[in-house]
Amino acid sequence: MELHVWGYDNEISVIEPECLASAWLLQSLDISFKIVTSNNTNISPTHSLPLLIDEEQKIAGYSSIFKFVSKKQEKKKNNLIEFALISYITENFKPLNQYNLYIKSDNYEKYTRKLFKNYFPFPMMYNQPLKFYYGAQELVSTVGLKSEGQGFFNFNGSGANVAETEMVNESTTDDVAISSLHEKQLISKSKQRKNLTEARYTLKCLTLMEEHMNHILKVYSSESGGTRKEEPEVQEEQEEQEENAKNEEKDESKENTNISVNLSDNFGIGKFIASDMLLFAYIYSLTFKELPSTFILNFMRTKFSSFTSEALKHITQLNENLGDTLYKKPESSEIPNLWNELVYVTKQFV
Amino acid sequence: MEVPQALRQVFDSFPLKTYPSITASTSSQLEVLEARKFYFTSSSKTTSLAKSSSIILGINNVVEYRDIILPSDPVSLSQCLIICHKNGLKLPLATRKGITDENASNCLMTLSHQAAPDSQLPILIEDNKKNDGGEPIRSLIPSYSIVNSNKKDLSDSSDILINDMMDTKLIDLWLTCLMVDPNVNPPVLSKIFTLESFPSVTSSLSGLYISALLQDIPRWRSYEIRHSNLFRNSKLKDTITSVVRKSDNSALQAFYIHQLSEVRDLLELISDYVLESDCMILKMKLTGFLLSVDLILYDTELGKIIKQCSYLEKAYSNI
Repeated sequence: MELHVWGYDNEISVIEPECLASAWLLQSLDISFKIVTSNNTNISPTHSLPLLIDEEQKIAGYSSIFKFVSKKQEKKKNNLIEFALISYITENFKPLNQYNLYIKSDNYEKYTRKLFKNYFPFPMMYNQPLKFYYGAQELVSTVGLKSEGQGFFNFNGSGANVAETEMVNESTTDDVAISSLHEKQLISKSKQRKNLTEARYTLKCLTLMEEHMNHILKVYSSESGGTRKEEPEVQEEQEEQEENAKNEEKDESKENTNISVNLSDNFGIGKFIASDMLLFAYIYSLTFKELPSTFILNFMRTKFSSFTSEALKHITQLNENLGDTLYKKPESSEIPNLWNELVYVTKQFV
Repeated sequence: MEVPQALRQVFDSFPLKTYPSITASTSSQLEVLEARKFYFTSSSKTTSLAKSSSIILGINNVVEYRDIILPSDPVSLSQCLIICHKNGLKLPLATRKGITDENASNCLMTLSHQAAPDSQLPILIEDNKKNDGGEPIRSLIPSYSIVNSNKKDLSDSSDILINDMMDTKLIDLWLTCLMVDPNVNPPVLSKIFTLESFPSVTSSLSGLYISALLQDIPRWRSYEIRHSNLFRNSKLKDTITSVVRKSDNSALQAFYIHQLSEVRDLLELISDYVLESDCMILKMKLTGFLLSVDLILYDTELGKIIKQCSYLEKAYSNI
């Protein structure tokens, strides 16, 4: 079996947490497979990754892969809550992940955009990130994380926003001449306005994150027959967060009683393995430490401290289980290059 | 400043007449509107709120089942059943069409999907009567708000989860079925949507409407945005006619097959859950989905799966 994912060399990308979840799932079920970091959606029937290829069968998408392997192994009975959790996590966490990676300007400009140069050769490395960026803009607007309209006096139509860095050096032939000081002031004000808007959406993103996490933990709690106490309030100051973290370490055993759900019980080939993997994959992606802005990680550590520490422990273990020997480089038609793209497009029209 | 005498004379001699205001609707317009309305019947269980306010549920079309009028699409049918259950109303009867009485101001009304602000139905039009007898305040609730409002009535966390899944998985499947199933043709679409309002002589107009409809369907419930991978070549395909678009969408067809296999197992699990649960919202949503598919899309691949669903018989008995 081959699992085609987004990634580079021996690392699965955070841009599609379903890829990571699929790899963890297959590994946990002791299935013999290879991970191919192909980044080529043309080989998938639904133009999406992850894609599992078993002999001549192609299975795209996390829920399909889960269904396929559980049928093949005949190890467990389908559980409605598990399917519902997978659906809930995908529908609600995907826009948050897209916001974190593409719309949060720090993360997009300093991390996500640079990733694509590893995934695609010249010249595809230039147009693909923009395509993802515009897709993310549309998706996050469905949950209110980006305003669709650009104001009453918008003459650019419904086109997507252009990053400010792209605009600064634009020739302004018919503009009234302004002093450099005035220009600096205008840019500074514009940046301030942009930061304020971004802060507003970031807060909304955190509110949604809290809402979804609370709901998921409630479901875990009700399914395991336990009750969950409220997590401590969000602390605004970084210092206080650090203090809290230190206190948590000291009173770890005490803190762990906040959530009566023992994740270890749900782990392994148990009741909620597929939804657990997907949730962990999204948490890994949302709290990814290499991102310049780790606002979600800070929030999770403060608001859902015990759950986060427990989840991060599992994530570390899951990543360690994915040994380097599992990875395989893409070959011939699997490689996303111009020639393969041309062949694919030609096949569509012939 | 004094007005010159000459000007004063002109304006003073101008024949001033106050004309009555032009009525917003003529009698023929009202007749057409009335023909599109299907009134709910009140019962002893009807709430006082339902008697004091006028609820109009704007839907795509209606389908008749044993003298009962039902909305033709799953979302409208589910919401119609939920409204009836909440307000103690009974479904409209084909034999009572057009009859109005004091308690029968709540109705279904067939509309074009373009009547809704986001081009998707159902919409809820509420006339809240004022206590002082003044003009009622009209409010319009769009489709997504109606569906989201169901969550407020759910308290159990598992019920909320199942409700969310039904709203996404089942309705996404219905939309995919409309877009790619080979048995969804103009006659079937005319049963779901209000196409019969176009005279038969203007079949080209009807064709244009269907074409516009097929362009709008992917936008409903943000389907196109949530599944952007399936519409990768949409700009190119926009230029191709809807017929070609249907036969060309291999990604959508692959997704349809995947959804069908997923729902085949899922429906039985949902049916078992709903049978054991006492949550009316879930019961009505499953009933609405099963009936709307079984009554209209029975020839499609989805219809064949629904036929085997154990809850189908119960769904018919629910109405």
